[in-house]
Amino acid sequence: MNIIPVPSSRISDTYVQQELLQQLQQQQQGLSKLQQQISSGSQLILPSDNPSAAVQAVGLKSLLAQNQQYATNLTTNSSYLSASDSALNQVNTLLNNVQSIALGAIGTTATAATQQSAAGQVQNTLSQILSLANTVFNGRYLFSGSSTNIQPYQQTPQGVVYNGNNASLSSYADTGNLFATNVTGNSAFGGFSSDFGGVDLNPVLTANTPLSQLNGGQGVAPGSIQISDGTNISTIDLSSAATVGDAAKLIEAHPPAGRTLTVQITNTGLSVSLDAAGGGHLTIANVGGGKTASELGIAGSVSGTGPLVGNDLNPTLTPTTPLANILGTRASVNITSAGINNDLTIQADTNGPQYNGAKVVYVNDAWFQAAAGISAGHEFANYNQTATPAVASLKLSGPNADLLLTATTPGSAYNNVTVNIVNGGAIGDTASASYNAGSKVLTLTVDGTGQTSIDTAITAINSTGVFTAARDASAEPNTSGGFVLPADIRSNVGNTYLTGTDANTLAVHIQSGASTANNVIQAINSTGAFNASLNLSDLGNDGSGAVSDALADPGATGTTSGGSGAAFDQNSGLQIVNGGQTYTISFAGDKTVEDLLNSINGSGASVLATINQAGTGINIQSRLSGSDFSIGENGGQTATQLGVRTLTTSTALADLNYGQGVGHVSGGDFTITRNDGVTFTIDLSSAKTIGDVLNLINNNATNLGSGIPVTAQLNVYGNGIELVDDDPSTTGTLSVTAINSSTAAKDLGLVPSNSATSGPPTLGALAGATVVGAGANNDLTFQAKEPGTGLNGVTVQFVNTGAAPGSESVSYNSGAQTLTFDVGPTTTANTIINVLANDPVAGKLFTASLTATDGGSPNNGTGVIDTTATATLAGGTPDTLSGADTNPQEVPGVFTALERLQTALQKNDVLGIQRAMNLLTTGQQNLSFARAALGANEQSVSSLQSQVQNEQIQLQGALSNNVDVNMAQAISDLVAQQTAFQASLQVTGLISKLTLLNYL
Amino acid sequence: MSLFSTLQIASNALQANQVGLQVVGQNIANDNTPGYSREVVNYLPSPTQQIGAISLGTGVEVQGVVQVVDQYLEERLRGANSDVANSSTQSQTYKNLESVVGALQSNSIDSAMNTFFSSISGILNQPESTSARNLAVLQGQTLASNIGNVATRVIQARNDLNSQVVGLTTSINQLVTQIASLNTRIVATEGGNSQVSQAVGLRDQRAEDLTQLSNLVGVTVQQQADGSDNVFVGGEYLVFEGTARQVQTIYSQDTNGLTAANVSVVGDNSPLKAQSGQLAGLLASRDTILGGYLDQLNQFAGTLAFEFNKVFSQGQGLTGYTSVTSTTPVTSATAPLDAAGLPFTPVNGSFQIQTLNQKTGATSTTTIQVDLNGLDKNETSLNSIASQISAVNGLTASVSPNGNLTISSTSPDVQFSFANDTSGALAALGVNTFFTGSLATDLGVNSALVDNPGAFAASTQGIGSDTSNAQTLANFINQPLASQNGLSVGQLNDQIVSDVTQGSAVAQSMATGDSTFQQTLLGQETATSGVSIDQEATEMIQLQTTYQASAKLIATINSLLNTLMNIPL
Repeated sequence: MNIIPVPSSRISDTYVQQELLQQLQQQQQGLSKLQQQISSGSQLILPSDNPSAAVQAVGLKSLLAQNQQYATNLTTNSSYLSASDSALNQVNTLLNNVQSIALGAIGTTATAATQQSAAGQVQNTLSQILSLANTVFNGRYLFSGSSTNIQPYQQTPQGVVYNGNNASLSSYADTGNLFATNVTGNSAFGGFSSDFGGVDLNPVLTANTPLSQLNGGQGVAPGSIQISDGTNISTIDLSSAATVGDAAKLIEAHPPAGRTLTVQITNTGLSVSLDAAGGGHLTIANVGGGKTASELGIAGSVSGTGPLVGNDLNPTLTPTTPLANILGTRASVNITSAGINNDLTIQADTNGPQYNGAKVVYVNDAWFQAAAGISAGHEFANYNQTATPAVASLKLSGPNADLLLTATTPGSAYNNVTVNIVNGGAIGDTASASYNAGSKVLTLTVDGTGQTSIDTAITAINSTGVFTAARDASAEPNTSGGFVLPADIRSNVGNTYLTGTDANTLAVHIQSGASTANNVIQAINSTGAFNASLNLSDLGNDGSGAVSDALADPGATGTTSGGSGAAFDQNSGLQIVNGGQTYTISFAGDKTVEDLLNSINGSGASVLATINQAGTGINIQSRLSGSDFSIGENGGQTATQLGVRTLTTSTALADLNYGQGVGHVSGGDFTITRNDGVTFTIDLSSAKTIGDVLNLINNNATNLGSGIPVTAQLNVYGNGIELVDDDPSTTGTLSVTAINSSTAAKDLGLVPSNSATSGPPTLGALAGATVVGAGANNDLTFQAKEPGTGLNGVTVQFVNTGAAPGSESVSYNSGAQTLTFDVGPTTTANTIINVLANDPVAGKLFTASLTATDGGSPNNGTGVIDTTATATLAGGTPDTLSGADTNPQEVPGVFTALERLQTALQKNDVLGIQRAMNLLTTGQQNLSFARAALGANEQSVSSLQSQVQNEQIQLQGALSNNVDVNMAQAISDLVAQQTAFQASLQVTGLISKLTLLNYL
Repeated sequence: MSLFSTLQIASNALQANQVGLQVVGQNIANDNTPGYSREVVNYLPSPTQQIGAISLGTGVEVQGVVQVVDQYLEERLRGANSDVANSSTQSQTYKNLESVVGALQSNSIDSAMNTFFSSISGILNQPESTSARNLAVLQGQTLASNIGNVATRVIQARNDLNSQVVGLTTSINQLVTQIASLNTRIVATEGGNSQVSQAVGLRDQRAEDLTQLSNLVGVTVQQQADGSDNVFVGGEYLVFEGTARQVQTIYSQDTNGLTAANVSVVGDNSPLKAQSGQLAGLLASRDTILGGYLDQLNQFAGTLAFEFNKVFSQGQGLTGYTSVTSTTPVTSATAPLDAAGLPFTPVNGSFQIQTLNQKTGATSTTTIQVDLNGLDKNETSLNSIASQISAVNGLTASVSPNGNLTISSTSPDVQFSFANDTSGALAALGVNTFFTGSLATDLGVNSALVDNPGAFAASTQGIGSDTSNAQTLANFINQPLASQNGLSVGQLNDQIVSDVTQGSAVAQSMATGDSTFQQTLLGQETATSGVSIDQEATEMIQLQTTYQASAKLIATINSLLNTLMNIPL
C-alpha cells in the first residue's frame, strides 16, 4: 500500500476526501487479490506478481513434464522387458528338456528308434523356440534388435535366418540417461557368425573427402592454423571448411603477406609449398591450444619453401567410397603451367607403382612436320612405355624439298639438336653431313648454287648414322625431285626441340598457346592409361587457360609418383558357401563400396556385409544358423584383398574342423604323388597354420629335387588346399595318400573322409590356338597334346621357303617358343596336319586339326595356307587336386546347436551329438547371460522408476512452493485486512462528519 | 478630514467585507468542484491623505480576487500525470501480454513444447508404431498453432493499440483547439493584468484542459505574461497564444511488416516526440513491449524450426520418400544457396541422399556437395543441387518456377531418404523437415509428415532401422545450441517468459511509483488550491466581525452627526 506524505502546510477538504478514497480503494484491491488467491489456490494471479517464483515455476513445470515422460518411458518399457524375460525363461526350460532328451539318446542303451524320436523332439523344441524368438508383444517383435517390425527368425530349408540386427533400442530415464529397452535375438539365441574381413582398404584422399572422415574417423576439428615464411605469419581460419578441398583452398587463399601458397592433395595427404622465388622457410603451426594443423598432418617446418609433405590422413571407408579408390594409390603429378586456369592434375587410371616415374610433357605438334600442327580442339596424347626418337622438320623453300629428320636412337638424347645448312661452294649435286655431339649441331653442306638435290641430301644425312631423313609430304606433294636452294643455306633450318621422349612418357600433342587445359584433359582421358583433372590449386580453375609446349613453358612438365598398392580385383568376385549352396558374387560394374555391400547382401547367401566399426574395411558374417558357411575366392584375388576369406594361410590348424584341429602322428602324415611318379612324405609335426602346411609341401626336398615340383596353394575357387602339378607326363597321377593311420590328410580336406586316398585330380586344359588365314578351307586349330602351362605362348607361323609339295617341314624351337612350318606356294591345310602328325618332335607336343568352318562354310582343308597368318597358343593349365574346405564357419547359438543335434541324432553320429551338446551348452550360457543382463536392466528400471517418482514429488513440492498459495497465511492476511478496512471506513465516516460549522 | 471621510472609510470597509464574504461563499460553493482553485481577496489599505503634517489612512480597498495556484506545482503535476498515463498504459499492456503468453497455463507454449517432446519420447518407446509418430506430428501441430495463436493475439493487441493511437489524435486536436481559444478569452478578459483581475473560471477550465492533454501526451506549458499558456511537445508547439496546431495520424511499417500508426503535427511527417503521456505509453507498448515480444517469439519460432529441422533432416522414417518438395522456395535458383533468399542460411558442407530399391534391397548413397566456401566459381545453387540429384540413378530433381525443389524417384520401387547433412541445406530448403515456416505466425508442420506420419525421421542408420535420431530429438528441448550461445530451446522459451514477467513486474512498479508521486503532488496541490470549509468558516467569522465593527463605526458617526445636528444654533 502506498504511503503518500501528508502536506505540511494546510489540509483541504479535497485532499481529505481523496486521501480517504484512495485508502479505501487500495484496501479493497488488497482484499480482492487475497480473495482471488484463496479461491484459485495460486499465489500468482499473473506471473509478474512474483517474477522470480513464476520463472522458476515455468522451469519446474517443464522439468515435471519431462519427468512424467520419463516415468511413462520406464513403465512402458518395463512391460517389454518383462515380456522378453518371460519368453527367455520359457526357452530356457525347453532347452533343459532337450538336454535331458539328448542325453537319453546317447550311450549304449539308445536304440535307433529312441534316437529318431529324440530327433523329432529336438525338431519340435526348435519350432517352439523359434516361435518364442519371434514373440510379438504390443505390436513389436521383441528380439529383432532395432528393426522391431521385422520378424527376427525365419525357418528356411537351409536353416534359421536371423533378419534382425544387433542394435539396442533405448529410451530416456533422465536427461541424457538412456536405458536399453530390448535384448537382441543375436545376444539371446545367436544370429550372426563371427565376422570376416576388416583388412584396411586404405581409401585414398580426395578433395571431396570430408574433414570429419580423416585420421581414421577421428576427424579434424577445423580451427585456425598459422603459416609463416620466416618473415610474415598468416593465421588462417579453417572453421568454414568441410572438405579437404575446402581446407586446401582456404590455405591457398591466405598466404603470408606477399607470398603464394600452393596446396596439393595427394592420395594420402596434403603437400604445402611456398613460391620458390620469395625464399624463406615454410613453417606451419597450430594456433593456441588447437590441433588443426597437426590433425591435417601439416604441422611442422621445412628448410626452404617446401613442399612440406603432410602425414597420411587415413580417411575412413564410407559407403560412397569408390572401389577404384581403395587398396592403394594412383601415380599422379601436378602440371603447373604459367598463367591461370590451366593447371592440371594427371593421374594413372589404376592403382599401383607401375605408372610411377612417367614423364608428362606438352609437345608442340608443329615440330613433327613441315605443315602446321594440329589446331586447338584436336589435341591427342599417347603414353609410350618405350622411347621415341627425336625429329626435326626441315621446311626447305623449294618445291618437293621438305624433309623430316629422325634420330636413329630413340630417347631425349637428341632433343634440342640444331640443323644448319652451309655453303660448300660449287660442289654440284653432292652433299655432306656431320653431327657434332658436343654442340648438338647437325651440319649439312650443300652446293652454294642450288645444285644439291634432295635425294643427295637425304643420302648425306643418312650417312651420319645419327639421323635418317625422309621426304615430308605434309605441306606439299613431295615424292621425288627437289633441290636445296641457296635460300635454305642458313643456321637453324630445323630443330629437334623436345620431340624425342624417353621410355614411359605421356606426350601431349598441343597447339602451343592455343590448346586449353580442358582440351588437354580430353586428350589425356582418352589415352586409357591416365586421366587428368583441373588442379584445384589454381584458384577458380575452370580449365579455360591455354597451355604452352615445354620449350615455351619449361615448368609445365612433371613426373608421376605416389602410385602404390594394387588395383582391386573387382571382376573375379567371391564364392560364398552357406546352407549347402554356393553363391558366386561378382562385383563387376559396382562403383562404390555400397554397391559392393549391396551385391553381397543382395546375393541371397544369407550373409550380412557391413563396413567395420573402425571404418577401415568391410566385414562379412553369416545370418544363417544351423549350417556351414565359408567365403572363398572365385578364381581371383577379391576375397584375399578384402580379407574376407574364411580360410587363409594364417588360419591355425587347431581351428579347423570346428576347432577339432588336425590329427598328427609321428613318422609322417601323408604322401603326395606327382604326375611324374615322384612320391614324398609330409610330416605335420612342425605345422601350426595352413601356411606352414603349404610351405612343408612346397619346400619338401624331394619335391624340389628333380622334375617339376608340385605347388601347394589355397584353392583358386572356393576354399581349401590345392595341389598344382604342371608336369604333363602321366607316369604317375597327382594324388594324396594318408599314411600311418593319420587323419591329417582328411582333416586338411585333401582326401575324402571315407577314403585314404584322394580322388582323381582335375586335369588341366590344353593350350590351343586357331590360325585364321585369308581364303577358304585353310583355317587350322593347333593344340598341345598334354595339359599344362608349358606350351602357352608358343607362336605358330608359316614361312614360304618354296618347298616343293611333299617336302614341307615343321620345326619347334622351345627357346624362342615358335612352331615354324616351312611351306611352299601350294601347301594346303591338310598337308600341314599331316606334316605335324608325322614330325617326331613337334608331333609329340602338338596336334593340328581343321577348324569346323572357315568363312561360314565347312572347312575341308584343301585351301592353300596363308603364310602371313599366325597365332599364339594359350589357355593351357596344369592338373590340380583341390581339397575340401575343412574350416567351415557357423553361427553360434541355440538354433545351430539344435539343428546340429537333430542331424547328428538322425545320423547316429556320436561325435556330432557331443559337439552339438557342447554348442547347446554354450548357447544356453549365452541365453543365461542375456537373461542376467535383462534382469539387471529390469532391476535398474524399477530403481529408476522409484527415483523418478521421488524426483517428481520433490519437483511438485518446489513448484507448489512457488505457485501455490499458503492458505493459513492468506486467510490470516484476509482477516487482518478486513479489520483494517473496517477501521478505515469508521475513520472515514468520522472525519467526513467533522467541520467547524457544526460548532458555529 | 471630517466625519464624512471616516464614514467613507467605514462604508468602504463594509463593501470590502461584502466582497470577502462573496469569495468565501464562492469557495464554499465550489468545495466539490473538480479542478477548482480556491480564491482569495487581496485587501489593500487605501492611499493616505496628507493633511498638514499628518498622513491619514483612508480605509481599505479591494485590490483584486485571485486564485491560489502554485504554477510550478501545476507544471510538475501535469508531468506526473503524463508519467502515470505512460507507465500505467505500459503496465496494462504487460498484463495483457502476460495473460496472452499464459506462462503457467495449460495451453501455454512451454506446455505444448513439453507435450511435443514427450510425444517424441513415445516414439522411442514404440518405434514400430505409426500412431506414436502420428501423435508426435499432431503435438508438433499443436505446438506450432499455439505459437501462432500467441503471435496472432499479440498482433491483435498491437492493432488495438494502433486504434487507440488514432483515437488520441482526435482528443488532442479538441483539447489544443479549446486551450487556444481559452487563451484568447483569458487575455481579453484580464487585459494583461492578472494581478488585479483574473478570468478565474476560464483559467480553471484551461487548467483542466491542460491536465487532460498532459494525460494524453507529455506537454511543456509556458506561461506568458499576458496570461496565455503556450503548449509544446518535444520541441513542436501545439498551442501558441491563440493559435492551435492540429495533429494527424501517420502510418509506417515496422520490422515485422506490421502497420504502425504514429501522431505527427499536420504538415510534418516525423512523429511527435512524446516522452510521456498515454501516447508515449501506447507507442512503447506497441513497439517495445508487444513488438519486442513478437521479435523474440519470431526468433524463437525460427530457431526452433531451423535447429529442430537440422537434426530432423539427418534422419530417415519408417518409410522413405517417393517424391518430396521443398517447403521453402528460393528467390533465385542460380544464386549460391547462401544468397538465394532463404530465411535460414546453409553453410559449406554436404548432405547424402540414399536410395533404397524395395525389390532388391539395394541401397545407394550419394553425397551432394553444398559448396559455399566462397573460394571458387562453382558455389552451389539450387539448380546445381537439382542436377547433382538428377545424376543419381533412380532419382530426378527439378526446380519449379517459384523456386521449390522437387525430388522424385523414377520408379515406384525406389524410395529415397536423406542423411549426414553438414550444410543445413535440407533444413534451410525444407526438405525432409518437420516444421515449416520461419516465423511465429507461419510456423507449421510439413504436410508430407501430416499425410504420412511414418516418414517421421527417427532413424539415422537407414529407413526404419533404429531410433537414434528420435533419441536426439526427444532431448532436443535440453540440447544446447551453438547458434544460441549454448542455450537450449527450453531455456530460450524460459528467457522469453522471464523477460515478459520481469518486464511486467518492472512496469507495474514503475506505474505504482509514478502514481505515488502523482498522489503526493496532488496532495500538495490540494493543500495549496483546495477549499477547506473550516478555513472558509473562520474567514467568514472574521469578515462578519469586521463588518459588524464597521457598521458600529457608521452608527457611531451617525450618532456624532446627530449630536452635531442637534446643537441649537
